Amino acid sequence: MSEQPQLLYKNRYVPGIKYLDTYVAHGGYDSFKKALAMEPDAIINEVKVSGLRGRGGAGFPTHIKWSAVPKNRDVEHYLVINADEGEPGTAKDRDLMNFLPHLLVEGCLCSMMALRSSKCYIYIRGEYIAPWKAVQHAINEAYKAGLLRQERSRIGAGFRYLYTPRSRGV
Amino acid sequence: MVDGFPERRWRRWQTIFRCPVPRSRGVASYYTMYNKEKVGKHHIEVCHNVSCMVFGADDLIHHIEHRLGIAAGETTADGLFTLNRAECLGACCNPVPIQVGGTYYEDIKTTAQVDALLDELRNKPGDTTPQALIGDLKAI
Repeated sequence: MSEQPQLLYKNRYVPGIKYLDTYVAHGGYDSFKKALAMEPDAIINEVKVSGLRGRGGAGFPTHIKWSAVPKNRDVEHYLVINADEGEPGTAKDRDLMNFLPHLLVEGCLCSMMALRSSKCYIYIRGEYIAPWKAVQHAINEAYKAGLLRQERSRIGAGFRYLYTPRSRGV
Repeated sequence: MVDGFPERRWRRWQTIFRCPVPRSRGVASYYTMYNKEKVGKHHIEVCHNVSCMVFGADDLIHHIEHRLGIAAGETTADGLFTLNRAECLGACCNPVPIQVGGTYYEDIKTTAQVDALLDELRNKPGDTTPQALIGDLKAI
């Protein structure tokens, strides 16, 4: 393996990183606290400067995606996360959900700050029972710690057991 | 839905949703995770999508078919095993994944590993349904 800087999975092998106290001890939710004090446009600019891109095949820049959301509007916008991984050969989010679920929750919260949205749905495929449990546990912990306020931001992991679209043989 | 959908359930939905049985059948048949027919105690699903096919998923499926004496999509006479081909299970990093109920067995590449898995399942006391795995974790 070549030596490449680990950004996303830096704390992957820290024992107990999937629990809130360990995650916070390793600098977790610092970005969210930073984002809380910033204006949405400033958050998007910060992401632009960082060069953050999507992890799909296209590597789409995140700030362009976020900028495309209309700023002046009177209807509510929702953040919807697709954690299906239905396309063959891209098993990348499963490890993120399994081992660093709080990173996902923190990412959701930061995006919600930037998009001025107050509700988020995470859609997880029905086969991913262990990742779903990890993410739901992380969300429950974050609620209990008061990071997610019921009246302002509501995050719920939609478990895909009841409605599971088949991948249609792609 | 280990028991599948018995006939009376379809008729009940017809009353509740005011929707003809063939139409609800059409909807249910779209979703692979609804078991329309009763499945065995251990529901074996082998991924046979691109990355797994390259790693010999078809050979593994044929081996299981031969060993259990059933074709893919069927249940053994003793009601212990159901075998299905699955589209991508989202574990392309460790081909070939075999999902039994809700448990993943990954990195299965040889028929010897399949044999060991089948023997392990045969001697397992409880069932391996997703419902049994989910436990009591709920959203707050």
